[in-house]
Amino acid sequence: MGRDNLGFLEEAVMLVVVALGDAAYGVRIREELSRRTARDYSLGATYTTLDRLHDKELLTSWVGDPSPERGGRAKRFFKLTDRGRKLLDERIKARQDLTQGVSLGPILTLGRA
Amino acid sequence: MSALHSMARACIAWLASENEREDRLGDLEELLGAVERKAGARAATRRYLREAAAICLSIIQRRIRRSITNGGLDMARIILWAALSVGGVFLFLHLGGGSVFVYMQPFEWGVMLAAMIGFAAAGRRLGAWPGILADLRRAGEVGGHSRLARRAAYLKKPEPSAEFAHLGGVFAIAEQVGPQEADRQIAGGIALFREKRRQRLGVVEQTARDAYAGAAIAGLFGCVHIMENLEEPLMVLGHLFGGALSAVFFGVILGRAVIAPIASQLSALHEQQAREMEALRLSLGDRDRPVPAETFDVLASGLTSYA
Repeated sequence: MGRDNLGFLEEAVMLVVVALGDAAYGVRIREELSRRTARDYSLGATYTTLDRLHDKELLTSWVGDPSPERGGRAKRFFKLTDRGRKLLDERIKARQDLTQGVSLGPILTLGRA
Repeated sequence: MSALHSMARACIAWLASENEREDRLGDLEELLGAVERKAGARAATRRYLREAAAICLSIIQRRIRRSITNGGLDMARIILWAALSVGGVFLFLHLGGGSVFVYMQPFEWGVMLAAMIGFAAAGRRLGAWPGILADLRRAGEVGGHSRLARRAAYLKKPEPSAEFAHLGGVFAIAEQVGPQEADRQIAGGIALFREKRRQRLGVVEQTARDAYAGAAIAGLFGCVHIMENLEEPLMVLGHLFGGALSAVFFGVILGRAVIAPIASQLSALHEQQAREMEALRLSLGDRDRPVPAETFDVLASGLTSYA
């Protein structure tokens, strides 16, 4: 997959990272992703996607402070790079352009008929 | 904390790099606490083990992906070298033993076929094949050009990059930020390049060592199998001997004739690329003197496509 191509999960993870802001780390991203997509994603799947986005330089990460509920281990936080934000904006705009003026009503009616 | 938890943690600690270990294990602990509070200890343990397995698989998948897609032309060279090595092994087997089929039973063929299908499927899923073909085509074009044409092709699309994603980018850096900053950035880029390549090479070398270990273990199992069946007729024992020896043979051949040469090729290639970068850095350091044409030619001759 090219560096500028985004799969569904990649796009979803990027949106979740934006939504979580400064609190975007592994467990929270997985929870939010599962909640928003109504699908139970594993941590492994989340990490795979995060790693891929990191490799594509769409995400950047930094290590936070250790916390007791994590057995004294630190969190790795993620945020979008400028390139990632630009690409996500483009994707959202493309989707909006695609759906503009499209009404699913008649199609659904035809389907039922 | 049960032995299962400890085992899962040990697996992750063994597989993961230092950074991965910190946040993966931390996330796992946090998840365990949250699920335990919500659904009880039993559900938390199940969830913990499932997530630990998923994390291990994701780490393995990433490592395999990185070692396979070792960056553009490197990947093409790996495949070419692997194909030549396997072809060579088959040829020698054929010349020495009359037929390669003597040494390979349906099971081994099945394993090899499955491995090849898996490799092709993984490459397709990772989108590696179009890049490899494009790189091979580009390598052919670059090789066919004249000295000047190669230099022009090399400088065709300069993009700022200190990581040598496109080597022409360093010229753009030098233009934009001045010689001292360019030198600093390029030195950093070279260090980063060496480190990344060292890690990738480490994966390949480890794979070769794993192949030897696999051969030894397969041979051991084969011997145990033979000892279990010592009372069987010679025909059966012969098959078992053949199986054990074939397993050792394939493991050693895989490590020695396929993976070790790839590692050695990669090592030489990376060293050459790093030397080219150093040459470029030295050339750029002296701003009063133009970059000698020879430098371009050296760089263009070792042109790789990391972009």
